[in-house]
Formats: sequence, C-alpha cells, structure tokens
Amino acid sequence: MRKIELFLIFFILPLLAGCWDERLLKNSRTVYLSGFDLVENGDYQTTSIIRDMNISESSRGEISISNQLVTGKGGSIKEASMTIDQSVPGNYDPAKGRTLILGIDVAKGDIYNVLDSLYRDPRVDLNAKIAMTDNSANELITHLSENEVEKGEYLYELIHSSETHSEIQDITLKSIRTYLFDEGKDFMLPYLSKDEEDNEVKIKGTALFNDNSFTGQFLSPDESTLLLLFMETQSPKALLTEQLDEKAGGSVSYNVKSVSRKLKLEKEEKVHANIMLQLDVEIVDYPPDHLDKQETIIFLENRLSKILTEKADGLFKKLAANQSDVLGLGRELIAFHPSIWKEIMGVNYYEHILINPEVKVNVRSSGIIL
Amino acid sequence: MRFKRNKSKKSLINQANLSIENIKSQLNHTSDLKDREIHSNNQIYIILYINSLVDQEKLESKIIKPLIKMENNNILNELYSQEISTAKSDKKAISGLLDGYCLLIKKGRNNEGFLLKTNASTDRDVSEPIVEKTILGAKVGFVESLDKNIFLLRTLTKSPDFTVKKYTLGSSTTTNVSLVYLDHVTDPEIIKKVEQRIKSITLDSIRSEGNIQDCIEDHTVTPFPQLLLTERPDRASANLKDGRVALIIDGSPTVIILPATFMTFFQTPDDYITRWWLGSFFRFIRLISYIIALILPALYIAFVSFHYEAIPLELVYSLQSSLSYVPFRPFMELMIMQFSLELLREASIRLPPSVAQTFGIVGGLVVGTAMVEAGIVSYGGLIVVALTSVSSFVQPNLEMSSSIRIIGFPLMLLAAIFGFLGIVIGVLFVFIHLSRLTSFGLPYFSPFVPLNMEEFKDTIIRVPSWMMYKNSENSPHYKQEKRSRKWKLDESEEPY
Repeated sequence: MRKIELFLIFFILPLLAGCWDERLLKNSRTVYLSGFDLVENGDYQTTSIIRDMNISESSRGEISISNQLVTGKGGSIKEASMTIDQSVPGNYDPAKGRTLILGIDVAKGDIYNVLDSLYRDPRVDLNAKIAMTDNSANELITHLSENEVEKGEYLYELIHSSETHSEIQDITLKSIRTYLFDEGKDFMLPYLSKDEEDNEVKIKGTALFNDNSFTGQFLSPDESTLLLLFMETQSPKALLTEQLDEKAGGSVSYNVKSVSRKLKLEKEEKVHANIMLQLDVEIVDYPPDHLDKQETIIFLENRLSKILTEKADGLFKKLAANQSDVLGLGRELIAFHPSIWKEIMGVNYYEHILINPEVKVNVRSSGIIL
Repeated sequence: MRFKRNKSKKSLINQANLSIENIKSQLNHTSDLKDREIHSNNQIYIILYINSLVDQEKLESKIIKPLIKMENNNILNELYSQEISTAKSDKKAISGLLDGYCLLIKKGRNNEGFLLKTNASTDRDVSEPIVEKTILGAKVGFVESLDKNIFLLRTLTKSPDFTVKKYTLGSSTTTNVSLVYLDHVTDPEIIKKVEQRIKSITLDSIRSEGNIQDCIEDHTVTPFPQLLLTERPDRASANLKDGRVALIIDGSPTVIILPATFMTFFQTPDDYITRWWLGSFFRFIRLISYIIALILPALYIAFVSFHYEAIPLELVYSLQSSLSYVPFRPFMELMIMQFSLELLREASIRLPPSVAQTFGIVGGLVVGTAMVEAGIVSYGGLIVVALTSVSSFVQPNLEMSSSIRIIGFPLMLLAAIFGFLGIVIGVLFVFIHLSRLTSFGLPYFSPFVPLNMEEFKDTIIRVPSWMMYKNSENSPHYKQEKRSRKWKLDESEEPY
C-alpha cells in the first residue's frame, strides 16, 4: 500500500502547478531596459521597456518585435515596480535588464537609494551597465522605445563599444558597488544625451561623481580617455587625435599601446601627487609621413608630450574643482601612506591633494607604412 | 521425482543396460522418435533417433550403410561418425538424443549403447551485424549456432590459451552455454566467480541471454548494464584479449561479455581501426553525447521554469515567444514530446524497412512541426527533444542508451521541482550510484572511481597502441611490448 501511495505522490507531483519558487518563462514580462527618475514630492518613477517577440501564425515563423513602455511611481524603487506589475499581464521581471539609466535628478542625489533594491534581488544581472542621462530617464527611454525597435540591445551595445574604445570607464552594477562604499575612490558614468538634430541617443562623455552623487560636470570622451590612461585601465584600443600647427601637418591620430605610470605622493603644505605617465603609442593617422626619420619622431614625441601634459593639467583642475577622485588617490594614500591620510581624511580630502601630471610619449610604431 | 532418481541410480550400477522401453516412455512416446532394427553379423542393432533433430543423409550414409556392410562387430572402427561415446545410462542417452545424436544399441545380455553425432544444423550464413554497425570494422556477426560462434571467436583469437567450458543450463528444457576466455590473461578470480554463478542458475528454462544476465549480474536494481551484449566477433575477441570472459548461448546471435565497466560501453571496433586522433575524437563525442542526452531535457526545464535569467537575452525573447502559446508546464511539454518520440521509435522497429523510412518522415517531421504550430510544444522543447534523441542514438550500445531514458525522466522531474538544485542532486545521486556499482567484484566506474590514471589511456581518449602497455604487474592484461616504435631510434642512428 505504502508503495502505491508513494508512487501516486510522485506521479501527481509534476502535475501540480505552482512549485514553490517556480518562475515560468512564459509568464514573465522580461524587462530589457530600465530607467529611474525622481519626480515631485520625492517619489521615484521607474520606466521600463518590456520587449515582446511574436511569431506570427499566418506567415510561418516570421518574427516581429514590439516594445511596450511601462512606467510606475512609488515611494521606493520596489514600490514603483509593484505599480508597474499591476499594469502589465504576467510578472514584471527586471532581472534581464542589461542597462540601467539614472535620470539627472536621481544622479544628483545619492544613487545608492536607487540601486539598493537591485542588489537585494538575487536574480538581477550584476553585469548590467549603468549610465546617466542629462535629462529625465523617462524621456530617453520613451525616445528609444519609439525609434530603436529593431536594434537588439541598442543602449548596451552603445555603452559597450565606447568602453572598448576607452572612452568611458567600465562600470557595471557589480563594480560600481566598490566605488560607492570606498571613501578614497570615485567613479564616472557614461553621460547619455538625446541629440536633437540627429534624433539619436549618444554618449556625450562621462559624468563625474563625488561620493555617491553627480557633480554636475562631465568630461568629453577625449578627456576621459586621458583620465583612463592615468588610471591605467584603458582598453586595448585608446585612440586619441591631437591638433598640431599647420606647419607640422595638421593633426595626428595615435593609438596608445601601453602605459606605465609612476605615482609619487609627498606631504608638504599640501599633498603633492607627481604622476609621470609614459605612453607607448602607435601612429595611425599622420598624412605628412616620413616617420622613418628620427627628427620627425622626436618632433612628434615632444609635441605630443607637451600637448598631453597641458591637457592633463586642465583635466586634473577640472577634477579638483569637482572634488571627484576618479584616480583613486585617496585609496592610494590609505594603502601606502596612512599617516598622510589620517591628517587629511574627511569628506573633502581631495582639496588637500595637488596633482602634477607629466606625460611622456614614445612613438613605438607607425603602422605598416613609414 | 524421488522414484525417478532411484531408478537412474540403479541403471548406473547396472552399467550399460539400456532399456529401450524406458527411454521411449521418458520421451513420452513422441511420434518423431524413430527406431530401426538392423541385423548384421548375427547381431541385432537398434538405432534410436529423434527424426526432427538428425540429419537424415548423415544417418543413412554414415551410420546405417556402414552398419549393414559391417564385416566384424567392432563398431568403433567401422562407423564414420566423428564423435562416438558410450551411453552409460538412460539419462545420458536421452540427453544425447535431445542434442541430435542417434543412439545405437547393441542388443545382447546387456544392451550396450553408443551415441553417434548425426545432428542436423540449421546454421545460417555469417552476415553483417545489424545493430552494431561500424564503418571500417569486420562485416561479420555472430550467428545462432554455438559451435559456429566459437569458431568465429577462435579464428580471431588464435592462442593456445583460448579455453572453452561447456555448461548445460535449465532443468526442464536445456540450453547449452559456453564460457570462453584466455587462460593466463583473464583473472582466475573472475573465472571462478563466473563459473560459480553460472552453476547456481536453476531456472526452468533459459529463454534468452536476458535470463542469464538477470541471474549472474551483481546489481539488478540499476539502470546501468554490467554485462556487455555484442553481436560482433571482433569486439568479443578484443575483449577476450583484454582479459574478459565471453559467454555464448546456443541459439542466440548475441554474446555476453563480462565483466563490463562503464567505459566498456563507449568503445567500438572503429576506435581501434582508425588512427588514434580520430578514435579519441569519436570516443569523446560519444561521452559528450551521453551527457547531453542525460541532462539536456532537465536543463531546459530548469532554465525555462526557474532560471531564465541565465539565458542570453536574445534567446530569452525567442524562447518566450514560442512558449507563450503552450498551455502546459515545461515538464509536461517535454513529456508529451518524449512520449510521442518513444512511440515513433517503438513503432519504427516493428515496421518493414521500406515503410519505416516514410513513417519516420511523416512521424518526425510532420508531427513535430504540426505540434509546434498547434501550440502543444514550443520550438525550444522540440529542439531539445530532437537533440536528446539524436544524442542517445550515438551510443554504440543499446542497453547503455536506454539507461539514459531511465535516468533522464527522474532528472527531468527533479528539474521541474527544484530547478538547477534538483539537477545537481540528481546527477550527484547518479555518480554515487555509479561509484558503488561493481561488476563481478570489479569497480564499475573505474578508472574514474577509484582513480586509475593508467587506465585513462583507453577511456576518454584512446592513446596510440604502442602507448597502451600496462605498467602494473597485477594487471590482467597482456604486457604489451613497450618499444613498438623502436625502429624510429634505429633509423635515426643510421648514417647518411
């Protein structure tokens, strides 16, 4: 008898619906892009695109894609997503969202308020990219849902390709958390904006953050590439173009092959950070040619070193003005000079740091022609 | 019963006094039991034989004719039969008659009996094996005759070590079984065990190798076969040379090889015929396909009903789009598909080959697509089931591939209830089970458990044959010549 009972139980078990934590794919409404905004009276607004793929019955397997734009408001991010859940058939599931967009209002506040609920959900994709926009996320996503229907992961690819060109820092939901809780390190996020002329979403540069909030200042792609070189975190491709004077032949483009940085921290009146950056570059575009001549190379090396040192000066002034320690000098001090750190630690420690950058360019290669 | 036994004892004492009447009554006066009286040299001979079992011509030309023309009464010198033995009791005479011998009784004060080999054979010609096909291997398969099968094995295994032991099994109907092994190569322990187990079989009758398998295998409650059934003499011979034992059953074209370990089922003659790179590749493909066939349906269920965040984004959307029309839960969806596939598989075995092909197309293609379009299964489910069944067909051994189906269903169930966790637990149980199994006292999951690096030379990959030599002294295998490629050294030393 017992055996029959046991058999019956095991036979019936799979037929029973609603296993404890089962989440059927067919019942889920998978989000592919989410954005967060602050609206009046401190509520959060979540905007998401839910993507549906329909295989049409009539024309045999032809696939059509449709985007559904959903928004919800609430006192917290979770409440906002519950509001959305009430308005969509199936379970609203942000787990597959591979890009998160922060509206400018949210970014100006503490962005951890938004990210907290995402970290608590074990299913969220930790490799999701985070970006901020110069307007409300809602507007950007609405634009995308109308115009980028057929392009798979448009925003994700956009950010990813900029990363591979060393134009923005590689920031994911996973990596941003270390920056958020590190007192001696800040970060920058891709700064998205809608180009009114082309009617397209573009990456304008990178937004500088101080602690957990946006400083209001953003760097151009060129500047952030230089900053990434100073951080020694550039991708294999880091293309820069400098304007030379007319006599020297217009402009030169070069790709940075390798970087070596020497950092010296000294405490005087202020903390002096002397950064010596050695770049090994490959010339990729230089119409005047004659790179076989030693003079040309020395000329280029000198000019580029000078231009880049000047640029770096400007860049670090910008960082200092916004107190954004993207370089992580605070972390450097904590690790190697704790005595100095003890003197200057605090919210505004970056004020006490003076950076003297120096760039030295070595031309190592000129492509397959001279 | 008791009475009978007493009787046979009595006839043992009173040697060579055969009672024709007794033999006839023991055989129930069956109408194909014939006798013939011959008078020759003032002596009466009676020939007793079962008409249906003997070769009529053999009987006439080799027994009856010389018997009539016989000049003296020395039977052993005058008859042309290749095998003559004296029948010392009624019982022996009867078993001889049943084997197709004819019983020659010399009438006298004591009835002296001789058994003469006259059996008819119904051998068919040796043909290509049907189930275990190879590309390059020998095109010879076992047949239904015991002697011919031993002949096939012997021609491939020429060695004085080749030993055959005959057993007769079954109490009401008898079946001849032969144990074949290479002495000095096979572990005597194994031979002892096999003999013991075969002798202990007290079945009424042996219908097929399945009966013997059931009786002698170590573990019966397991989906994994511990005996290798093969219809290929080259495979059997290779296993004999590896120190295994072959069990040949009269009337069956399938030979049992034992003891078999898990990896034995993944070897085919082709692996050893082709170059070792290719052989290793095939071996690897087979192992991978085994794992795919085992886990893929369970993985699909787990992905679709628990962990879809682990699927790439584009795939999620396309899976979802076809899944959304399916009214069943993923487990039921796959079960329906698997079940209909099993139906097709079973049905196609029974059909004549010409119809089976059409049937396969109609059943497979048409029903498959129609099921997807009707929304009974999704494209994903269809792909998974199709891939699974293709992978299970890759297995060279029929029994091993059916073990997939037996383990696959519980795994699917576990996946449907617990997701990835269920699969992990299920696979863990399979591994534990495999590690605990033994085949005639040898670890079944060797060389993985217990780990034996030496044996890996012929498991996941097949190393070149000159590397196959065994280092361990107690290995039951031939110690192969280590330096089969010594010529390379010799050639390089030659002066230019």
